[in-house]
Amino acid sequence: MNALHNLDLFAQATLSIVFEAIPFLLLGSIASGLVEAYVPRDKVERFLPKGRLTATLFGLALGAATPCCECGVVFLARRLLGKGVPAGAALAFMLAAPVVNPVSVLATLVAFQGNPAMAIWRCLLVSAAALAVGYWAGGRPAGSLVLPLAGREPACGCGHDHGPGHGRQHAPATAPGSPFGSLADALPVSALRPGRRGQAASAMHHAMADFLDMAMVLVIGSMAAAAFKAFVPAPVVMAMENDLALAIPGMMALAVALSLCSQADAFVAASFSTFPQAAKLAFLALGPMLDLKLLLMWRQVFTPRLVRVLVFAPAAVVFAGCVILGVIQGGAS
Amino acid sequence: MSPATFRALAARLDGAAMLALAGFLGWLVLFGDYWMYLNPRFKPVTLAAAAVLAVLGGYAALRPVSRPRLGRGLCYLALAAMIAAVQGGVQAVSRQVDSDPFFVEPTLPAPERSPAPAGRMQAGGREYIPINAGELFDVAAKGTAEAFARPYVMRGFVHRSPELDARGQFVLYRLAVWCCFADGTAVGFKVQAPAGAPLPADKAWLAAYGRLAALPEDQRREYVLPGMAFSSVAPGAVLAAEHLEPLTLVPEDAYMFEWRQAEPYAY
Repeated sequence: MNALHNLDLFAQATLSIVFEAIPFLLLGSIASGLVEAYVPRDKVERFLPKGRLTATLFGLALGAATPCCECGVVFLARRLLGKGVPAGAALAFMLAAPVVNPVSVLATLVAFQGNPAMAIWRCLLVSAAALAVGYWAGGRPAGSLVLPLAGREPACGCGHDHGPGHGRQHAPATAPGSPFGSLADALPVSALRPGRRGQAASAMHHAMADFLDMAMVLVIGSMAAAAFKAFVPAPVVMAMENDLALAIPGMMALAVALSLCSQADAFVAASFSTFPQAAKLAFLALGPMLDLKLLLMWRQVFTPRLVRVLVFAPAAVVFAGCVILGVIQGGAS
Repeated sequence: MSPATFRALAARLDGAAMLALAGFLGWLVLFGDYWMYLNPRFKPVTLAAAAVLAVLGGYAALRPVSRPRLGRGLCYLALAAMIAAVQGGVQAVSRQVDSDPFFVEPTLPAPERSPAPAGRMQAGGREYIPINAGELFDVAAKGTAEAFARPYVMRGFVHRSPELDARGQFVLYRLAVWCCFADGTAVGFKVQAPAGAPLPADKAWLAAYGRLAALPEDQRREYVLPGMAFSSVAPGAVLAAEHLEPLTLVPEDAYMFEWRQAEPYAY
């Protein structure tokens, strides 16, 4: 393959990841904008479970019922946190939703020719990691998990750098330096009584600001993933196949580097037919919870401490689970 | 241009970029080579996203939501450069150095796919079941005697190697694209050339008509297609060809977007 082919591959793969993710990113940002404009914080606080474990389980159940892509769910989680959703529920939802949903389960079943073992193990490992992170976060105030937006000098206190013209549509900032910064977060919606047009405009503004924030990260993450595919020779990957101790961390690293969609990665995993099943599971379980573009997105949104937990907790759960499975199976592929 | 005018224009860059991206996505779905990037089953999703993006972009162009940022501007430039590279046909240049079947040049208008065969296909007075490499891979993996007794015809690119040549075999493969090009996996099947027939040229596009045969134990090894980031070649079976037919390649046919479990297969 000549260098120009690598360039073709890089450009085509980058664009395909970006084009694939844009609808989900839009969906996530619109959902985020709607939550911001229409969901009153006081109602959320009243109706959601408050116990640490029950809230985390609620987030997991919500994820199971919500087929969505990992790209769109990050800032939705941020917005839910801002609206008073318990941290355990929001983070469990964020980690579980891309995998523990009917669409991803079906894709995994199809990729592995109807054998349910891989889909079941994948859901179990992802749920375990989501529960662990959710339970850890459940004991902390949401404000300690999300980056403050003070550095961005919000013009209206809604958490975004809105630029010219925006000041006409919002009341003055209410909570400079607060992690969420939203006027609606600071006051109950009933106190504001915005008109319908004002609410719609607010939803649109927040949706666009979220989209623009994450689109840049998506492009950079997609370029990194495509570069790995284009420039790392296949024999380097295949060299790991015969050694379980190498194959599991190697496939975990590959999942992070490739940043594949959670509904398509099962087909790539299935193509590693000679790799131990535990290594394929490591690839499938970790990829939707931790990859390059997610890492970049988290750094925009969450505190460094939470980012470290989001990196290490799922990786540890997946590694431990897959090593145990690999030892039990004797490295079977 | 005064600094104030520059700032006002720059503030509208995000909206303009969203509008441009919406326009490109819409064009790609309706007139362009969408299949080069994504499985065509996602066309309605992309079109809907383009429409939403156009609305948001129009709004952002009129009422900027964010101050311009250099990083975002560079990302827009990078995206535009990659679109120009792929749509402008870097492939046409690279093909002059050597050819890689999966890097097909974009064309205007986008090529028509070959129509799916209405029923079974005929060759040498016999009937064959049209099937694609991915579907045949599944059929062989299930390994039922009934499936092995049936005649099949599949299309793909030829891959040859000295090891395969020595056994009179080659691999016939295509790129399976479930979601997008980035998750594409080359799926292939070993083909035993008809007795006495010359082996086809490497990278030729052809149809092979034949029946499945189980490979002997000593030949059941993983075969990796060189140059492919990910590939799967059926390890336990070979298509014993009775007839080979060179075909004219319609670029989109180089990719497989659908896998069915029973007749009529996607071919």
